[in-house]
Amino acid sequence: MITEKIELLKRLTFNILKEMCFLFQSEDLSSVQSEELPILVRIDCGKKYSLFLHFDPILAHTIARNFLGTAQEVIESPFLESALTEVVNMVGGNFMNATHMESTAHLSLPEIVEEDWRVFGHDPRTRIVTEAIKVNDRPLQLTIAEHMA
Amino acid sequence: MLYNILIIDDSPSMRKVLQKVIAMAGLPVECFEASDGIQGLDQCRHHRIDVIFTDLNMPNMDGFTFLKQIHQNPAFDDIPVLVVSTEGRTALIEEALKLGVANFINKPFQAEEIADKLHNILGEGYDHREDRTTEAPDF
Repeated sequence: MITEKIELLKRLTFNILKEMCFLFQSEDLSSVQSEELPILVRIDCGKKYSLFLHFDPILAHTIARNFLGTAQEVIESPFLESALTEVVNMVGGNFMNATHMESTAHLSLPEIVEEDWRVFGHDPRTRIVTEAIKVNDRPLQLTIAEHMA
Repeated sequence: MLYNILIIDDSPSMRKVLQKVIAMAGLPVECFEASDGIQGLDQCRHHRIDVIFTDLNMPNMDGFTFLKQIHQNPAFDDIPVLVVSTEGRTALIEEALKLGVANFINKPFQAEEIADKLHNILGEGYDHREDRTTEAPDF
C-alpha cells in the first residue's frame, strides 16, 4: 500500500541523512516556513514510482556542508546540487532495494526540477502521497507518485 | 611510492567525499577522477591505476558497461574494482561479480568500511602496477 511506501521512504531518508550527513529527525513537528523556494529533486524508480524530495534551502546547505565535510556556510554550485542529487540517488536506490523491484527496473538519474508531482496532472492511474518531515528543525517534503499499469 | 586510485562517479560531491575518505585510510595515494565510464577508460589508458572505485548508475557509459570493457581487456582486467553503489538487487550484484568486481560498498557507507577494503587490497604482497611490464594499449 502506498501509505506503507511513504513510511518506508521516511525511514530511508532519515537513515541516509543520519549516515552521510549526521542530521537527525526533529521531534518537534510544528510547521516551519521557508523564506525561499525549496529545491526540488526528482528520481524515478523503474516505471512504477517517481519520488520527489523538496529541500528547504537552509536544510539543503546544511546537507551539502555535512556531506562534503566542509565548514563553509554557503555551498556553491555545482556542489550544492550535486550533494542533494546524490542524497536522492541513495534514497531512490535504497527504495528500489527495499521494495524488491525487478532487476530490469531502471533507476533514473536524479535531477533538480521545477515541477513537482502535479506534472502528472489528474492522471487517474497515478496515486500521490506526500508527507512533510523535519530534519534538524527544517522542513523536507517527501512525495511518492505511484503509477499503476 | 604512491598508489593510483581512480574514482568514477557522475556526482562531483561524491567524488570529493570518496577522496576524503580514501585519504583517511592513511595510504600514500594519488586520486584520479572520472564522471562516467568513458572518462574512466581514458584515465586507465593514461595512468597506471592500482584500484578503481566506480558507481554503476551513470550517464554516457554506465558502470556495468565500464566493467565489461575492463574485464575484456587483458591490460586492465587485473585492476581491483570496488563498486560503490546503492544497487542491492541480487541478480545485478551477481552480474557485477561475474565481471570481476573485487568488492561492493553500499551507499550510504561508513568511512571505515572503505579504509578496511582498501587496506585489504593494497596490503602486504600487493604487486604495484608500476613494477609490472604490461603496457597500456591504445583504444
